[in-house]
Amino acid sequence: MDTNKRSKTILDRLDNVELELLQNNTDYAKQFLLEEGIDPEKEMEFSNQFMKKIRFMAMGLSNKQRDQKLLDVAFDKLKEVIKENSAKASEALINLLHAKTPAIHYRKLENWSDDEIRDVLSDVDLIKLIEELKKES
Amino acid sequence: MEEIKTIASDELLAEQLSNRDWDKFWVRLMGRCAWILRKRYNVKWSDAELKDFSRDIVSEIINKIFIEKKRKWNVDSYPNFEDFIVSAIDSHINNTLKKSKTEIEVGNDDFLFNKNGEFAPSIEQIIIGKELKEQVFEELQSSGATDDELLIFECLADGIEKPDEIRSAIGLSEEEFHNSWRRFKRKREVIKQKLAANGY
Repeated sequence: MDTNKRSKTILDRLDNVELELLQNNTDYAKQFLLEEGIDPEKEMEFSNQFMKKIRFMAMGLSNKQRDQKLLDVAFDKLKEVIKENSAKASEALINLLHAKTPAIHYRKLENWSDDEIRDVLSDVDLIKLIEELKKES
Repeated sequence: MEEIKTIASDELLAEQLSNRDWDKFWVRLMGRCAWILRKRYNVKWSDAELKDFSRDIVSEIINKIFIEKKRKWNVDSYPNFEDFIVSAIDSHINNTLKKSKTEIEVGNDDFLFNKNGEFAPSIEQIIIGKELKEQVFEELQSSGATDDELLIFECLADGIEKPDEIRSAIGLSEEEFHNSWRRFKRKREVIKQKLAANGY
């Protein structure tokens, strides 16, 4: 004997059928909302706007995460190259920084703190820097 | 041994966000939310309050899943995304109502939760015998239930609780079934009272 069936009453089953219809059938759900005084068309409009916002925010979040990963990779690579050949690492980074702001003069890279390095990395093309550093190493 | 959970990747979540018809899904989620509030918790709110509360619940869960990432989708427990979000919504309704029960008027019906926040059947919600089934059948007949509604009742009494199975057992089109079902579900109180009158 199926014990699951025995433990449920007709009222439970009635509710289960109702919930399954609401979960799987949009037309049925629309009709139910109308009975409850909620306009399903307005809900679809609301959802459209709300989900646009959610998609936009999710995309921003995903871009931010991707940029952070790239920054971490560039930072690690730069530190690695500084250890091996500080002059070449400086040259690669400073060339990229000069491409953006030619007038500024930069100190020697080995004198920079980690925070200063991270700070300037946000101003350079990280993919290009990683490529340059790979050539140097 | 430590249980290993498989949490959905960012890619899988992004897929759900972009490949789903959210307008239709939203309507179904709102329907479920409104049903649970009205029928399980017996809230006595106005339609506008019901709509606003349901919107808040659905929006908050979507935000927690896709933006705050506080609601993790365990794909082992819920291979289907819709089942996951529905379960998250059910528990969010429960938690929100618990937190604000002093401010919100919730009907005092027989609805109970167990310690996990799941619905626990009350004493009257136990299987009914053949004799009582016949009595409920007659009561439904007296209340004007149509043949289709009586057949739906028979299906439920026989343990069938999948809408498609009931529909195909009775041999109705989807529209016919929905119409009969809507009439039948309004007689829930008739069934409930008959069970109560028999000590269930």
